[in-house]
Amino acid sequence: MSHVLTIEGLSKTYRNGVRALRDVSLRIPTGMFGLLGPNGAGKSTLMRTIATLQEPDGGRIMLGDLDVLREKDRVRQMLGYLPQEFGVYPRLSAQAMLSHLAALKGIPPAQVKETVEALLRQTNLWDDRRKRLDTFSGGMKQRFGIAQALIGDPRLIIVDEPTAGLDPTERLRFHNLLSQIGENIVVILSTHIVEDVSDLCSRMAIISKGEVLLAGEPAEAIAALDGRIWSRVVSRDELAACEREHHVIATRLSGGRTVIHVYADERPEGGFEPVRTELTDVYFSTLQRAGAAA
Amino acid sequence: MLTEILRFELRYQLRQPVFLLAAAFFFLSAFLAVTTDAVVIGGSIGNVDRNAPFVILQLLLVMSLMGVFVTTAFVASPVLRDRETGTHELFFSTPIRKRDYLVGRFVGALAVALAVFVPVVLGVVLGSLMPWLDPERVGPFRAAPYLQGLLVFVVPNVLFTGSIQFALATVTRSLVATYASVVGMFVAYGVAGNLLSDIENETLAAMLDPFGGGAFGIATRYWTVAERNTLLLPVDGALLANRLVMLGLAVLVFAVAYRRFSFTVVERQSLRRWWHWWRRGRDERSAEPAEPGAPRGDEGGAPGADQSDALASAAIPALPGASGRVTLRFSGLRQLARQTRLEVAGVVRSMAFLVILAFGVLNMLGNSSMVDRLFGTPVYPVTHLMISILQGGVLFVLIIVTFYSGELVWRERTARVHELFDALPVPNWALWGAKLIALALVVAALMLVSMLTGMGIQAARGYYDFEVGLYLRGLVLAGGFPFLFAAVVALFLQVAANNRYLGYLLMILYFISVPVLAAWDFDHRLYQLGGAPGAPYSDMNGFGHFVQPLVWFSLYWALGAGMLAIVIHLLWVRGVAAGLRDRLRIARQRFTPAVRATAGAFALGFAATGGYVFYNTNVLNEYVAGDLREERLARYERQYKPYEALPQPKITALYAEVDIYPERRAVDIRGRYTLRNPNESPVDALHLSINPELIVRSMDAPGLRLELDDDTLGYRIYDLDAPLAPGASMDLAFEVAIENPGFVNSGSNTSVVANGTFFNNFAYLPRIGYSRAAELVDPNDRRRLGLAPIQRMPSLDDAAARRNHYITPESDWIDFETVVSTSPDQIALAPGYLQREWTEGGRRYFHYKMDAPILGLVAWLSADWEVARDRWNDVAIEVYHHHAHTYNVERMIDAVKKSLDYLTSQFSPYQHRQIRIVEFPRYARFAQSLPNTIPFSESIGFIARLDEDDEEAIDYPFYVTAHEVAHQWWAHQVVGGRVQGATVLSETMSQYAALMIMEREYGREQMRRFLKYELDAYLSQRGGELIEELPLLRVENQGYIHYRKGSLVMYALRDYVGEEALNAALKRYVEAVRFQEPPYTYSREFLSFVRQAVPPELDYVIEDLFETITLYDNRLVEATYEPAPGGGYAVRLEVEAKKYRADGQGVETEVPVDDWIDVAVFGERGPGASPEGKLLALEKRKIDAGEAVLELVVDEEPRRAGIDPFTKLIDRNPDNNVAAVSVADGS
Repeated sequence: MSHVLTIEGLSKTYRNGVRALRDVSLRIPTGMFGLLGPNGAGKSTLMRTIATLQEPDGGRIMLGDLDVLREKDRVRQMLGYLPQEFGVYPRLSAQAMLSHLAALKGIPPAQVKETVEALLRQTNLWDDRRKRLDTFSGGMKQRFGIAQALIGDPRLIIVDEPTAGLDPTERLRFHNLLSQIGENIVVILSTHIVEDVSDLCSRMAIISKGEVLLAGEPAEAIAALDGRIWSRVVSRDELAACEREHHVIATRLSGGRTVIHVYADERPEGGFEPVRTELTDVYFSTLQRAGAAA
Repeated sequence: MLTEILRFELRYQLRQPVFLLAAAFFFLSAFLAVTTDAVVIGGSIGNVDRNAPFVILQLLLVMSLMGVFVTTAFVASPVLRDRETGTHELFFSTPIRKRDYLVGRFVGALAVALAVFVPVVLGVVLGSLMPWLDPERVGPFRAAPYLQGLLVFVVPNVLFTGSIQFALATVTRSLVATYASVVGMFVAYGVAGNLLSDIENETLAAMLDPFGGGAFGIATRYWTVAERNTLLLPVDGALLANRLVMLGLAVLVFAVAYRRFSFTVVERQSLRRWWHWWRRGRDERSAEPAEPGAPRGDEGGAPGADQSDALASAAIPALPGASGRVTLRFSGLRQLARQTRLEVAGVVRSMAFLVILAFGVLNMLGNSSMVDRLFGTPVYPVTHLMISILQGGVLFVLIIVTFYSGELVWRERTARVHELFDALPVPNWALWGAKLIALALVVAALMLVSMLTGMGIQAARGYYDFEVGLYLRGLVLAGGFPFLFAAVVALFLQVAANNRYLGYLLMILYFISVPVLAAWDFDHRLYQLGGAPGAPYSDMNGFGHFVQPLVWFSLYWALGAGMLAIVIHLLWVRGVAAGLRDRLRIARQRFTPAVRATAGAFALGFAATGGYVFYNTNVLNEYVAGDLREERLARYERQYKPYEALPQPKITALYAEVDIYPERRAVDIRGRYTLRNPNESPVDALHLSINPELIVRSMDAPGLRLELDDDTLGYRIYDLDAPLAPGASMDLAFEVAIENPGFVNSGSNTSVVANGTFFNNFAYLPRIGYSRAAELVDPNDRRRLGLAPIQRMPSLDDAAARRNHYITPESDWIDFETVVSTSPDQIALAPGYLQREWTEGGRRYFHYKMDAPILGLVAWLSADWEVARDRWNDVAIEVYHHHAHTYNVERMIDAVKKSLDYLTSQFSPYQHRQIRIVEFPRYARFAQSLPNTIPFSESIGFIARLDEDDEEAIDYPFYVTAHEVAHQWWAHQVVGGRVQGATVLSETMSQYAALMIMEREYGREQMRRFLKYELDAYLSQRGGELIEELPLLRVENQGYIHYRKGSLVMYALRDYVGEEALNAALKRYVEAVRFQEPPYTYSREFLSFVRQAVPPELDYVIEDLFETITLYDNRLVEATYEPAPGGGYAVRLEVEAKKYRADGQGVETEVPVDDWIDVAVFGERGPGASPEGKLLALEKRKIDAGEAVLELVVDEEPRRAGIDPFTKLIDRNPDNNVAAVSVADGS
């Protein structure tokens, strides 16, 4: 049975008028899917909606032939979810909490212990299993989070901004962990960090202000821009002029100097060098186009 | 900065829905309390103004008590809010000073909590302006009482409770700990209230009550109606001390919290950990490494230890799930069990839970000493009394249920794990079901602890009859269900409101709604949420017939709770808390066929049980709402009072065959009256008042024609074909029955029960003519129903009224004979001598007959008794008692003998050959003297505990027995005409005789203790007078006057004129009036005999004691002594005596003193001495000025001295009568 996740015309407007999702349609096949977008783009709303935790105003989500919005219980039986932010019960060890969650996720009692042990080892928390969760560091907590999301062979895994706030080592660790998740299930990773997607995901979507701006394979997206991104070091005085004359998609500092990337079909005048297109360029140019259109 | 934080706090909180709702709720409560009788908070009764200062003070006091819940929301939330939302790190990292942060928050929260009381004041002020109020009951507007109430109660209470809650929230960061403090305050309040019921515990009670209620009660307990309408509270003594202590505690607690608070980010702690942390002390703590970081994903900075192995993750075992080895099994029940375990562990492992259990123990311990105590004498700690303590702590349990419901519902969200849990494949019902079970377990644990404490109390008092079965039945029947229902409602409100504090507030509204609805006469339990009748327990009758309605109503509401649970299920928030629209949409999704079927089953069951209950309460029985009941009484009075003056015949003989069926609570009565026309005109119509509960089977007499039959109000008029000529007699035969089919909504019949039936002829036999017994007394009710002011008793000068005695106008003296039958395992009793006893048709028959005419008040009783028999001369003494109640039977027999000794020697012979004391269930608490038979409630003496070594305990079984035996003279021989003062001749004189009999047995010291209770009861019950207080001579059947003041008056009179002289005069009186025919004697005639014993110089005493309401305020100013020239010691007493006369509303006028008053000197304390010390001198001295200096010479060294030391005079302030004696200057 194929577990492709299809999202059709999903929309959500909050009571304060914020339109978190505007007619979002996506097709998410098995494998790692990156949902990239700036803060406030509607990623978490989308993730929570898929994770059965929020009601959209309209639209449809299907997991295979399962109606996610209606058959929440059945979806939950094959769901692993790592929320963007979660706390812990005080006075509870990692092992105890994981055992509890495993039992609730339907692991038969006889196998709870074994399952928990495997997950703790896999996430390298075995040595800390007796520590209380409220003493865990941010990285340990995220690993615990993924451990609980992996319980019980989920067919759909949703990890919402898992690397936010992690240091580079922990992030790398986390990437390693995610990369082992089977290819046959749907894994949705939402992030605002481009590297997360470029490192891990075979497919992606860029979302901003509740709209899907781009969906597809990262490589394709990069290829589409190939040869059209140019960079140059500019001085502070030149920056304004460049922004007026060129289609600047990103400005960043490198060694204290300002480097700009511009989009152009042909090399622009004035010392621009061709650069190898990266996903970052795709991301920023997409956002920028959307911003210009708005 | 401070003002900014304060402003922020105010702005933030004043906008919260909790504040607005609380303000509205407080306004409405106050407004309704003033404008309606539905909300009774301030104590405005009778002639007390609706806006009397006393009412305003009490209202503010009570509201400040309710305010505690609101204060919790305002004060605890600013502290916990930051932690819960994670904002604390923002605040703590700004350069705010601790002082600004803490003080700003605290003061802001307090200001908001105080602001809630502004609507209370507005509510009262506006309420008293409402045009529909009875203008007679609205006093002038005065600002002072409001200010005083605010300053004395509201502000200190908000400060006290607020600072404790703020401190606990700040230091423990646990909301449960904060609630626990609330529970503790209410336990202290409850215990203090109970302690107050005995005058010995005043100071303790006043200091224990954290809200100042105890001290308020003591300060105002003797306030009369006039004083309630005018006085402000004297802020001194216990009240001042209490307020200062509470304010001091508030400051102290805040100071400690302030010192302990630090801006470091400490994780949420359990109380237990906090305790360790506390003990480690501050210095050590600051030297420790930083506490672990807060559990926040974006906090960053993994500790170094983690990094070392972070990359060493090459060897990773395969995921067990991915390998497909595990087959998931989803069992909702198993998940429920798992989840329940977690919830329960979360509750049980917290220190706060232990603290709450400890409060449960304290509640039992604190209240156990006072339960059922009379005159300071305890009772045996029988099991049902232990259960009743727990039931008395209902409020305390409900508070816990309320708080824990919020705690449990918000648990995941508070810990921010809700998204983890909500995405799990766990059905909704397992999530909320686990919480409900946890809540139920909290209640169960509390019950269990209470039960064990109860057993501990029993064991500690040497009572080893542990009735575990009764405990369990009692807790389940009477405690379990209401608490569980409350748990479901609390959970429902938390879920529906989706705001913790809003949920709490709604819960308070729910608690209040039931009594308010009832007060508005919406009193059917079918629509009072969770309404189930109580089940009082009697040792004789067990839970009796109360079980059936309790079970059915409980089942009904349990099914109702099931429907609420369905709503909980539908509204249960899963995932992101959404708006109403989303919640309804989700609810529709969740309303699956299975849920629909369950809901349908609940609804069907609810309707079916409701139907069955309705069939019982409204079809088998008549249901009449409260206001309609009153309306009926008013209608009866309006329609039939005009017939009152109509000449009617009087009963001269009663013969009755009474069949009692205890097992089905039914009685058949076939009776015959012999009626004689005592009037000068013929009687051509017979008027009968018939209790509407009675089924009239037949009414038969020659030429009797039914003219009017008012079944609803219970009145019949029969025309007589041949009018009854003056002096002529006729027989009236009747057949009536009482049936108690099924069960009723409330007010079930407790007269005819499975074991302990007791009813009298007034209740179940037809009565001749209009009956005043049911007339409404409260002047406010009467005004509302358009009735003229009641005349409780005809005037003392109304000679015509004395044609009838005060017991009943239907008869004078009657011949009485009865055959009564009952179940074979029971004995049936009625006044008279047993003629024959036999068994027939499986029933036991008893034939009783009186050998001489008696007052027309008789009763029938039936129960499974044991009988103790004894004799006094030729009088047979019998005590019919419940088999287990043997404790005081000998005491009662002894009391009967000693009473007979005294009464026969002092007054006149006993008219019967037998005297019986008969125990009846504790549904009523009195004893009543019928001819040769004294029904005696199991609750006023049968389980009183009088240990041999406790010399101070007042033997009230002895007292009650003596009082009732004395009634065989003072009521059954001497009976007053139906005018004012009639009860002096029965109740007051029985009190006097009982006092004398008791004094002979126990001595004067006991009498002093007893009279202290009488004085306190008289002074405090005066304030509850509904119409007006009258002098004893004119008492209108007012208990606090004819019993309580009567005791004091007669004891003082005896003291002035001597027992011998007084009794001689009384004996002459008894001889003159006993068994007299109409017109009957009255108090003035009584007094004319008494005067014969009073020397002329004491004439004023009669006026003070009988003819006026006279009070004193005597005081020892100073007492010194020096050696007397002729040996011994000369004691110089400087005394102050003030004397007042009060009117019917309690307005006092000072009158000059020219009285003989006791002065006394006491020496060393010791065995056999009074509590003041050995009595060295006691003399009556004439005191003819407000201030006087007196000298007494005594043999031994004086210690204390005083004026009227034994409070023989009615003194509102007896505590300052005696003081220590000092050595005179210069000696």
